Amino acid sequence: MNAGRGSPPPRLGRIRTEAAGTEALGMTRFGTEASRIDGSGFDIRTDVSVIALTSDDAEIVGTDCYGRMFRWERLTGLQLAGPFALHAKRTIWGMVLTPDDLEVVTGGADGTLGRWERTTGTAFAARFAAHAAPVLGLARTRDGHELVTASRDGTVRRWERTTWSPLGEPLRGPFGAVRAVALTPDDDLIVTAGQDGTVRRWNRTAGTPLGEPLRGHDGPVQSLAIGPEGREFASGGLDGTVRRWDRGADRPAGAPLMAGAPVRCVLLTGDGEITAACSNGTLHRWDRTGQRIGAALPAHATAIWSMTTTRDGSELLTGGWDRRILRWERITGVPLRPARTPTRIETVPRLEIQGTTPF
Amino acid sequence: MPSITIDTSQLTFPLVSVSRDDSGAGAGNSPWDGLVDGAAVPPPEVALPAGTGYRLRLGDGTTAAVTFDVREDGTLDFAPAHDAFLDGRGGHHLTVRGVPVTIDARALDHPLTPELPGAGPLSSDRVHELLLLPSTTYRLLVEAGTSVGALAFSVAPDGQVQLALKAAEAGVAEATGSTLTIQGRTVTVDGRSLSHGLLPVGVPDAGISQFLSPDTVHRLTMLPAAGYTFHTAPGLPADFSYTVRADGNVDYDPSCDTFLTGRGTRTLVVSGFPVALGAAEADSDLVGIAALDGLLHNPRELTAVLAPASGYQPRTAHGVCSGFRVTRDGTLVAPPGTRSYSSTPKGSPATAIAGFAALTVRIARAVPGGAPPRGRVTFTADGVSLGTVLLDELGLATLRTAAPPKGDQEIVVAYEGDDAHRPSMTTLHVRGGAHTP
Repeated sequence: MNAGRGSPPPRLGRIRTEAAGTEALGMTRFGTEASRIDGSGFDIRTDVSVIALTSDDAEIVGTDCYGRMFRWERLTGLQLAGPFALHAKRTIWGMVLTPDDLEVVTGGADGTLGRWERTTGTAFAARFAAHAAPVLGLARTRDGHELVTASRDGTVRRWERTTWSPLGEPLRGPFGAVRAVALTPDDDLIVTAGQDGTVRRWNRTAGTPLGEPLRGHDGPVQSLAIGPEGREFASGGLDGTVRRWDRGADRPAGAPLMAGAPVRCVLLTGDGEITAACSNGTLHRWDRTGQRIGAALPAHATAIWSMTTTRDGSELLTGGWDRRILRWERITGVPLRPARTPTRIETVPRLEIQGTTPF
Repeated sequence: MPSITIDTSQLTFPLVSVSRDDSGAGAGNSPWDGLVDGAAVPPPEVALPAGTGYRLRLGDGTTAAVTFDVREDGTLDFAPAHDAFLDGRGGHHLTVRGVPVTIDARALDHPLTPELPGAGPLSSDRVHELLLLPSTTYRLLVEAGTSVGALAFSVAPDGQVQLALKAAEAGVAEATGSTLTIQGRTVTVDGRSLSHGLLPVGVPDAGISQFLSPDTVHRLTMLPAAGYTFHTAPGLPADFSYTVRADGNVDYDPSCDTFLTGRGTRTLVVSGFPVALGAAEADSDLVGIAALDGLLHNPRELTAVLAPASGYQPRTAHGVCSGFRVTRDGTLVAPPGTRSYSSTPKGSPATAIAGFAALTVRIARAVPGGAPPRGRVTFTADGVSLGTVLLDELGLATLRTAAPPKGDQEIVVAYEGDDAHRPSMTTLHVRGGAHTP
């Protein structure tokens, strides 16, 4: 049902405390670490696990490590709705929006998939037990009809979205937990990455591997990105590097890009630039030749778990377990402040009690 | 006139009356208007003249699609097709059975009550198995607050449930076989700027038994209906109601536009009105407002944001006072005949305010909803700072002065803004003269 049923006992009214004054300014409140870039984000009051933008870039849909979903207005940070309890307090590691933005599909640490109305969080169907272990990655085809899930159980599975019907045989291999999954824009290839440090390509419909496993990382691979043209891949590993790959080659494209900390998310934009977000809260950028763009940005106080861009690629959004979502002008790396809501000043009517009480 | 005993003890709702339709169609001609409890022991007797086409009425406008005849010898007869529901052919004792129908309204946050005499609410905490006679005119009513709304459905002789076209089209419910599943519509209630919770009226212990806390937003799933309302405190009904339309969007009376937003969306934002309650001239300290705990106050002043309602009762150390009213335009109204209240008017910045000892302003968001602004407010007169005040949790700031301004003055009030809110500034015109409480 909802936040009302089963919610904590009511608290009528609010207590005046000095804290109301001391935490008045967001810059101070969130800027306790001198090295951190501040003033660009908004408080989301939860540990975000995945963020996604609606197709009009107006709204951020986010999930958290407590199995919940939220909606925020991108420009102001105003919370539009949520939390919607979806996955029984288990982390939601995978989340996609359908192309019409009406539906949110989630994959959780409970091994289930769920389909939810975006605006209300209402379930379209009961959660479906898709894997025997946590779902760690989720992707969809362009038309949104098909889902691909990656799991710690060592399989990658395809599903018909509206019926949960399995499509083809699970993709299996000697690779252990599958930590990330992505689809090329033409939907032909499934790209996976996982515990064994490889990146693998699969024919989506046939379920057969394509080429050799791509090797280069020294340890588990935690994130994947595919460029808008589908010709280039990037992978981020626990070894603190980002590796670049060409779709048709079996070797890395260029030298590893050194982030220096485990890479949690990686992004490839249309201009060929790569952005990596790390477990120490830093952001790193490289151009298409592998040259670093600027210094590492100390963005979040803790790990960055999710990253996305606006459709035109001009703005980058990051979400971390420091309970913030940050917005960046991607090209410059300049943090963007939330658009501030206009205010007005109203006089408050007073009612004075006189004389003897009670009356 | 023959007497027939009627036993409806197997029906979930056993109160019935008998009507007769001589023409076989059209309006009934009721020889006996009273309802009888067919579950009583012994079963009630009704005197019916010999005739055909008797029908069992289940309530106003609800007549079972089952007929029987009374022969000249006073015995009963009915069509073989009705054997599934009736027993007693050839005798004087009519036993009425129903068909099983399942009502699943667990998605709702309020109960539904069948529009039948003696029928109690069907709670939303479980599925209800009913035994009903076939009829085309069943209705489930919303009994939440003053709400007006209903879901119409029919039960066919084979037990199949069919929704009225309107409900089926709206997608608020679904009929499958003998099961009626009611999904309702989910709306979000955002009362985060209020100092008090909101208790949805008519939602009993099966659903939300608690006030919706102002700490967060809440979702309520309801049958589309008008007149849903809240209590602002135990026993204190709010002076507004709202409608959940069939498309799931909320609506409300235009007179509520000053404190409600969200018309045409699925989120109802209840903003309320800020209030400053002073007791500087009273014989005892302010303790609060009855039934509203934890309001922001000091011994002689209290601030709160309240939804329109009548009967907010200030409490002093000596006891509970007569309640005041917050109207739909934010005016504070003392109870008739009470001289122990005086008020300064609610007004725009241009409104002249008589000399004051305390001046409270609210920094309001231009877009309702969300957390109140934080930060500081500076009061200035003739270029001289009168003071800088931190906003409280409600977004209110009060300037207190021991020396009320003399003569006409203009006080510039400036809010510095915070990370989420822009600065704003206004000028208040203060009339000279001593503060008259």
